[in-house]
Formats: sequence, structure tokens, C-alpha cells
Amino acid sequence: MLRSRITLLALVTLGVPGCERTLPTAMDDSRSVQALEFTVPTVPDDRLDGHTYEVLGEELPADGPQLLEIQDDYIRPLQQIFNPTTRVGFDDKYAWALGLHYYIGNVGSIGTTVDVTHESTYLGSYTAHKQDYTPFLLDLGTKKLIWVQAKVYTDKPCGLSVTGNSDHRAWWQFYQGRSSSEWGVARRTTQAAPASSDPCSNQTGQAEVSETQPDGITCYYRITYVKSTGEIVSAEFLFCTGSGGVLM
Amino acid sequence: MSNRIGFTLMPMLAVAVLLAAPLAVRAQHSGAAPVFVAVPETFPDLDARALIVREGGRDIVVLDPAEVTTEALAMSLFVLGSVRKRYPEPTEGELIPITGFAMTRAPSGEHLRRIVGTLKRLERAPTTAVGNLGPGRWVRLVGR
Repeated sequence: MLRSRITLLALVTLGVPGCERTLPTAMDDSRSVQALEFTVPTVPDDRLDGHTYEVLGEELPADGPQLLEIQDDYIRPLQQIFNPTTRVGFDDKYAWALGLHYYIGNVGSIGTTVDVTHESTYLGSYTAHKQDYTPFLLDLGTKKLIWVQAKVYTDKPCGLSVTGNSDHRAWWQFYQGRSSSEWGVARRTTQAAPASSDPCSNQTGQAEVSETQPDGITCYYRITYVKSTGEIVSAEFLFCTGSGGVLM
Repeated sequence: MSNRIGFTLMPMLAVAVLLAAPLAVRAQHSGAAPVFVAVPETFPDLDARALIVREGGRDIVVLDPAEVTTEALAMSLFVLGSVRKRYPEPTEGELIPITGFAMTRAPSGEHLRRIVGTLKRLERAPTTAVGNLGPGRWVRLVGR
């Protein structure tokens, strides 16, 4: 009777999920050629570009270039792009590049890229795009402003350098759509003067980090996807960090 | 008398085992997920020096075959540590393209020995399928 109860208990124990054997792993590489199963989803080229607009309206950020005076000099009646410019800088939480221009035409477009480096080592870049459209019949040939700000978020306020460049465009188009022809296409490119944050001083508050552990600055995207289908769910802005972890 | 004690203890022991089972499951999946290091023969077409894939309760560092170095592995693990702090328990699959890194302090001592040891094991590992990236080699991080 007791023996049967012990047997029953053993069977119950072996059937409990917490006591299941873990899947074999290739700790001894020479013994196994088991495949490592995982899926890297396909990421479209434009999935990591900033096609979502950074700002709305025509209010420029306080730390960016202010509204410039437009010279009413119409010696060049065919000029469509005025005062194109790109500037870069640092905020508390991100490095940025801001591009803008004034234009004549019912379509204005701008793409601005911010590049982040550390002592000439490339870390990453981010491009933001914006396009404004005014219905052809409503556009009276006035000068309009378009601007966009590209950001790279970071928790490392020191030791970084940024450069930036912009692609400025303006044209006329009867209506939005690929079948509508464009004319009067004007294009300019601008490059910002580089900027650097303060050099990093020796950190004295990291008592838990041993001097044998590696340290550095890294930049990465984080893309989430549905495991079963590989469908992209979200893609975060580029993030640069000086705080990591040690797993060894 | 002994049978009466047995009748009392056996069910209690069974209940104790059943109650402990969920804890055992949680202990198995809580804390650090296993970490694997893989190098495919062909790196995927992404603007990245290395990748991290997090799915199925595992974290996988994918190195570019053109850059299987101590720096690449050390910095990839550095990023993995950062991501784990920010997102300890992902509910979806995660792909982390590491666009760039600059090592300001190289590993040394025991950390360097472990990284070098992992790369040597990776070099000796047999060729097999590495996820959906085709043939390659992989190893599991010792102690993970």
C-alpha cells in the first residue's frame, strides 16, 4: 500500500511542469550540430527613417535658427529655394540636426540627417523627412517655410560629436500623386558645421563597475515584431548610450 | 500507527510538490535568459555592425563574419545589458541593430579571458543552421 503511494507520488512529480527536463543545449559543441532557431525579420529600408513629422506648424524651436529676413530681390525670378540651412546641436536628451528653407512652389520637401560620432568613430545616423503640399489653385506664389528636426536620443551627455546635412527641394505639381507631372523642380543641399558635447570626465560614481569590465558608447535601434509572423510592430528612434551591462 | 502517519504525510508531501512546481517554473524563466553568440556565413542586409535578437526567452548576439572580434562581442554584450535594463521582459520579438560602437575601455582580466574563450569556442563550433540566416556557427555563453 505504501509502495503504491510512493509510486503514485513519483509519477505525479515527474508530470509536474516545473520538473520537466530543459531542452538540450550545445554546451559541448563537438557533440551536437543542433540548429539555433530564431528569426530575424525583414526590415524595409524606410522603416527606420523619420517619416513621421518632428514638429507641426511653423514655430521653430527656441534653440534653432530664428526666422530669417527674406530679401525681396527678384533679380532671380526663377529661384525657388531661399536661405537653405542646416544646423546641429545638443539638448539634454538628444543630439539634433535642424534643416530648413523658404521656397516658392506648391510642394516643398526636406530631408535632414544627423550623424553621431565619438572621436571620429561612427556611431549612427538618423534621417527625418517632411513634405508640405498646397493645392495648386490655392497657391499664390508666396514664399513658404518648411523645416524638420532629426534627433538621436542619448543618455550620454558627453564625448559625442554631431554633423548634419539636408536635402532641400521645391516644385510645382497640379495634384498629389505619382501620375501628376512635376515642373520647376529646384534642389539644394546644405551641410552643418559640426558640434561636440563636453568631453567626459572620469566617472566617480560607478563603484559597481570593475576596471576589468569593458566600457564604451553604443548606438542602436530597437525593433519589435510579432514572433509568429515576423511583422514589424514598432521601431524606436536611434538611441546612444554610455551605460551598458556586463554579462560575463 | 505508521500507516496512519504515512496517510497524513504523503498527501501533504504531494501538495507541497505541486505548490512548488510553479515556483520552479518561475525560477527557470526568471532572472537572466540564456545568451547565445552566433555568426552566420552571410550577415543580413541591415545597417548594423552586429545584431541582437530576443525571442523565445533567449537572447542571441549575431556577429558580422567580417568582424568577429573581442571588441564586437564585448560591445554587443554591453548593448544587451543596456537593453535588458530598459526592457527586462519583452513580450514581442526584439531585433536590436547595433549601428555603431566605440569602446572607451577594453575588457581585461577575467572578462577578457571569457570573451576570448567564447570566440575560440565559436571558431571551433560546427557549421549548422543559424536561425533564418542560413548556415553559420553558434555557441552558448558559459554560465548563461
